[in-house]
Amino acid sequence: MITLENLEFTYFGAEEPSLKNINLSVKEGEFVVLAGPSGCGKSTLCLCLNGIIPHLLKGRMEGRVLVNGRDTRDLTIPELSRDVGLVFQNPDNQIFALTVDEDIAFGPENLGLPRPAMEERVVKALSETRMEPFRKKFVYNLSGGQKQRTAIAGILAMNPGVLVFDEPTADLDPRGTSEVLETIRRLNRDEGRTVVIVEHKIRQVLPLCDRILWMEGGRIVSEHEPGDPLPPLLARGYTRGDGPADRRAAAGQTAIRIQDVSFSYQDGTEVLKGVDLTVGEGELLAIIGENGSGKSTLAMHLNGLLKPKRGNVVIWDKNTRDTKPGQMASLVGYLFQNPDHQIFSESVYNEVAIGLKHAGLSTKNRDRVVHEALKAVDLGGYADRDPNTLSRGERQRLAVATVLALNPRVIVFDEPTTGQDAAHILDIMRYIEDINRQGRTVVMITHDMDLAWSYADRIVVMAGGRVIHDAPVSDTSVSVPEIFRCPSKSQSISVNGVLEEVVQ
Amino acid sequence: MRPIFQFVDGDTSVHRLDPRTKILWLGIVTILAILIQRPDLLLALFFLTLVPLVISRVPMHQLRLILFFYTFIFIGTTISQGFFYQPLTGPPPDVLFWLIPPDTPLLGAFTGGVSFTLQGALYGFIQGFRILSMLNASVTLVMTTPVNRIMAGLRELRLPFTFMFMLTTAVRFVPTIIEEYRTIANALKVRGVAKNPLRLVQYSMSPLILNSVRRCSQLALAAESRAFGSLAERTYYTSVKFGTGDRVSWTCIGISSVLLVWLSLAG
Repeated sequence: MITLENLEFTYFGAEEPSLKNINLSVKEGEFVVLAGPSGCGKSTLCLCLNGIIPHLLKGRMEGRVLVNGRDTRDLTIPELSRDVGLVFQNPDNQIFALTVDEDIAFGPENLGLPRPAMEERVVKALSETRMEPFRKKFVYNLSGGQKQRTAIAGILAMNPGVLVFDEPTADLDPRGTSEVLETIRRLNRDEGRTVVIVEHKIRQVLPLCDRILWMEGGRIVSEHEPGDPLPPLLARGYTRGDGPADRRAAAGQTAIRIQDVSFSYQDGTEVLKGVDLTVGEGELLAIIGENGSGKSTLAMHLNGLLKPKRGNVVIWDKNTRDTKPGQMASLVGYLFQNPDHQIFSESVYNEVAIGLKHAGLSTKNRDRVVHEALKAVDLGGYADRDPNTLSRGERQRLAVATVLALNPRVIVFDEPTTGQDAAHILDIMRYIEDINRQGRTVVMITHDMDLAWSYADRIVVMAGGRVIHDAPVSDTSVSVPEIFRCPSKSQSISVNGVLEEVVQ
Repeated sequence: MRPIFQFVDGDTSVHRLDPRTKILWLGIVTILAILIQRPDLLLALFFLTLVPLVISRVPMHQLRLILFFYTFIFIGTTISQGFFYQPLTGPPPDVLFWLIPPDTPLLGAFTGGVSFTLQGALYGFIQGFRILSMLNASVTLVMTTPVNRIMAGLRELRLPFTFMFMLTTAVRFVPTIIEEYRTIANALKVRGVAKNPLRLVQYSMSPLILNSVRRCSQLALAAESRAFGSLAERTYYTSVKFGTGDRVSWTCIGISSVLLVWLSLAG
C-alpha cells in the first residue's frame, strides 16, 4: 500500500537531513506505530506520506514514496488526499467550518462532489466516528475528543485507504484519548483501513497495533511486535529520586487551606461545589480529573485569579479574597500548560526581569536574581537570546525561571507535560522534584495518571466540581475510580525506571 | 462574558426565512436610515424594524439586555448632540445650562463656551432612532440565523469563495482567540506584570500574534490535506432556499420602503 525507498529529506535551509535512508513497506490493513523522541523525524515522515513533502514544504528529497504503486512526486496533494488522509495533533487547527457536518463536508466540497454523494459520505463518516449525535453542533461547543473525532471524520469523508495520525491524542484528557483510540481501532479492525500513527502513549496503543517502529535521528532504528518482549526503550514508566512516603515527613505547616469553596461562572454553570482541601508545606500534590471536573478552576483560586463565590482560600495567612492576583505572585507561582501563552519579551533576560521589575526589585538585585533563576533551569548562557528561537522544552524551562525568580512558596503546574516526549517529561519532572526538594509546595494538575501516581505525595481526584478522592499515594485502602487508577500498576508491560536509565 | 447578541434557537417564521432576505433587509434599512431626515419617518422606520424582532420572540433576558443597550444609545446621542448641536441656519438653540460658560478664564475664550441645548437634545434623541433602526435589523439577522446560515446566504449573494473562506475561518477562530487572550492575560496577571488594561493588551499582542501565525501555517497544511485548492469546481454542502415566507416578506419590505421614500421625498 505504501512503500518508502531510501527516503531522505532535508528541509530548506537546514544543514542536517530530517529523514535518513528510510526504507519501509506498509501493507493494506496494517496498524503501524511510529515512536521516538521529539525531533526524530516522525512528523516529517507523516508529511511525506500524503505529499505535503515535497509539494508544499520545500527541501531536498531523495528516494521515493510510493502510494499504491504511484510516486507521490507525480501526484498532486488533492489527488493523494483520496488515498492518504492525515490527521494532525491539534484538532482546533484542522477544523474549518462552523458545524460538525459542514466541516466533514469540507473535503468533498473541495473535490466537487454532487450534494447527494457528499451527504452519503458525511453520514458514513459520522457513523464511523460515532459523531451522529453531534452532527449539527457548533465545533466550539465540542470537547477535545469530539473535536478530534470531527477532524478524523473530515478525513474519512475523503475516503482514503490509509489513515495517518500525527499524535492525535496529545492534547486530550484520558476520556478523549480513549474515545479517539477506540475510533482508530474500529477503523482499522472493522473497516480494514491501514493506519500509521505517531503516538507517545505507547502503552495504550500497543494492544491495537501490528508493529512499532522506533525512530531516532531521522532513521528507523528498530522494529517491534506487540508479542515480543517489550524493549526498554518503549516501556514508559516513571521513577522519582526519593519515595513519596519519605518526603511526606517534610510536610509541616499548612500552606493551602481551601474551605467549602463554591464557584460558578457568569452563565450560571456551577464548577466548584463545596470543595474542602488542605495542603501541607513541602507537599507535592497531584490533582487529576477529566476536562470540566473543576481542577483548573480550583487551581486558579490558589493565586486569586478567581475568587470563590462561597468559602475561603487561604495561602499561608493570606485570604485570596483580600488580594489581587499580582499581589499573590511572590507567594504563589503559576505555570500554564503552554509556554507560548506566557512569554512576552524580546530577550530571555527581560522575560525573567520583567516580573522582578514590577515587584520593585533594584536593578542590581534584579540582575543577580535573573542569572540565578536562568542557571537553575539550565538556561545560563541564553540571556540574550530571543525566547522564540528556543525549543519548546527550553521555552517551558524559561517559563519556570520566570516563576522561580519571584521565589514563591507554592508553585502550581497546569499540565506541565502535555505533548512532551518521554525524555522531556523526565526532564520537566526532575525540575519539579528539585523545586519541591527545596521545600516549596507543589500542586500539579495532570491528565497523566502514571505521572501523578509516580511523583505525587498525595492524589486528589475531582469530578463534577467535587473532590471524590483525597489520599496519599501509599494508601491503597481507598478505592479510586478505574479511569483514575495508575495504569502502569495494573498492566504488566510497564518497566518503571527503565526509561530513566535509557535517557541517562 | 457572553455576547449580548447571539443566535437564539427557535422556530418562528423569521427564523425560517432565507438568510438572504434578512441580509438584504439589513441593507435596505441601513440605506433608509441614512436617507430619511424627517423625525416622524425615522420613528416609523424604527417601529417597522421592530416587527420582525417581535415576531421572532426574543427571550426576556435577551430583551432586557437589548433595552439596556438601546437606553445607553439614546442617552449617548441625546447628551452628545445636546452639547455639540449647531444649526447652520435659523435662530440659535435654547440653552438649558452651560458646561463651560463663555466667561470662564482661558477655557471659555478657547471654546467659545460649551452649552447644553434643548434643540440639540431633541435632535440627538431622534438620531437615536436612526441608529436603533439599523440595530433592530442587525439583531434580527444575528439572533434568528446561525452563523453558518449567514455565511451560506452571503455565498449565495455571490461573494467570492476566497473571501467567504477567510470570513468563515475568522468567525470560526474568534472563540479560540478570545480563549487564548484570556489565558495570556491570566499569565500576565499572576506574574504581577500587567497592572493596567493598556499594558495587558500591549504585552498580550506578541504571544497572540505569534501563536496565530503558528496556527495559520498548520491550518494551511490541514486545508491542503483535504484537497483545498483542487482543480475540481467546488460544490457546497449547505444550501439556502427561498420560500413563501420570503416572498411575503419581500412584498411587505417593498411596499413599506417605497412608502417611506415617497413620504420622505414629499417633504
